[in-house]
Amino acid sequence: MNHPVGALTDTVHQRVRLGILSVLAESRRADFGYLRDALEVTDGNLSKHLQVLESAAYIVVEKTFEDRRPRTWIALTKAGRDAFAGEVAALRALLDRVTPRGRR
Amino acid sequence: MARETADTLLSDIERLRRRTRTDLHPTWFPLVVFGALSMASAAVAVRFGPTALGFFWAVTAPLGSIATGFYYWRRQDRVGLQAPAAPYLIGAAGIVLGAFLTGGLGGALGAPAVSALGPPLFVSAGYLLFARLARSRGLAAVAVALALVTVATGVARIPSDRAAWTLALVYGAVFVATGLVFRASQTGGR
Repeated sequence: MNHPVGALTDTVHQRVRLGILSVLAESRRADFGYLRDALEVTDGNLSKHLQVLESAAYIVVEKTFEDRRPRTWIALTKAGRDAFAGEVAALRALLDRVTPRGRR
Repeated sequence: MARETADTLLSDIERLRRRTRTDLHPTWFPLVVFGALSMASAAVAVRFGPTALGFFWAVTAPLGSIATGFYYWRRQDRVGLQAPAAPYLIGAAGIVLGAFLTGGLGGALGAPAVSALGPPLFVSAGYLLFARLARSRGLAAVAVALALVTVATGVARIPSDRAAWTLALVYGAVFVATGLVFRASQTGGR
């Protein structure tokens, strides 16, 4: 039987990146400021993680101008949604393996 | 990986998803707007009879929907988070259309009970759909409770003219009260 750890992916299995995907999985898109505040990270830290996810084609980043101010919107791709669902399923499977459901 | 790490990550994910849903769906606003309109419609039904309800909602339902859409749009823009609009637009259109069709059908068939009970049942079903979209158990419980009240009104054979304004008043009061509770919990938690 395969161990659930094998289903975890390095790109997604990171606290901030999982947080980004969690927010995006619930919405059509979120802006940079919302993600930064929700995840309590700095601009630089968030940018770094967004680049990793964008490189993996898990998110799309759209830069716009609204009222002559730059705004960055981030949305989840189909691949990102699948990767996020896979990660959550792997974490749950891992937890079930360590702690059977009846004993939690 | 330690069990605690997986547990912590899953808890963080759930907390963020819940926060995002709350920020995306300020459900209190449509509840208060349509609750207030529903209570006003009860007064219209008492003063001018239940047939006036159709005219009242023909004017106020689109206005309430536009106000809600505008509020959601402004708020999502300010917060920096957007939800897919199509399911909500389709749901709102379904409620308005279903309520008008059952109301008119009751009149055409000479069945005042259908006119009195059909529209509220469509409203309950619509709010159940909204609860599903926003994954709000509180809103789902309110929608089911109101549907049961509507069915009970029919079973108790309350005269249809009285049932129309009574249900409008009950729906209105419950919507406004629920909306205010949601607003307090949503703004209090931040």
